[in-house]
Amino acid sequence: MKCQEAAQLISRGMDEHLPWWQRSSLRLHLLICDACTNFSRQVRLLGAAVRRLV
Amino acid sequence: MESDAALEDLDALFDATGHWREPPQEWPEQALENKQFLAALEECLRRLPARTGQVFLMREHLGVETTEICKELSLTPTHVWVLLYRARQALRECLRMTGFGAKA
Repeated sequence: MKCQEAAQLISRGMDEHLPWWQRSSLRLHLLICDACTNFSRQVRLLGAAVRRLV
Repeated sequence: MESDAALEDLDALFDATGHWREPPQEWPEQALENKQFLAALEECLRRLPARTGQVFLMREHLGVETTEICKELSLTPTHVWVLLYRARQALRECLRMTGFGAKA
């Protein structure tokens, strides 16, 4: 899996349920990719931050 | 009409082999407590195209399910996920420009 595809799946996975094969290949990618792991944390943090704004 | 259902302009974030051009860096968890970070985020939200910002806030601020967003705004599921992805990438990039997420 390429980072480009992983980033899209990370975002989609926050809004809908991904099929198991996508989840497992994404999980494998995240094990070896710091950049996408950081991306995943960043977009989660964005969500948490937006919920703090009034 | 916003041509916002395409991902082409986001391709610039990746090279031809699908790798990040600017690999995302680690953000400190304390960013949530950081007033500057929150103020920068508000400013970045304002810069999003109207529809993109609306969909992102419905989803992340109000917690509306994507199926509801589709119904409410008469958008296809694909369009909604593209808008959400665009919003997240645009916000990250905007915050990176203001100095967050740069290499410390």
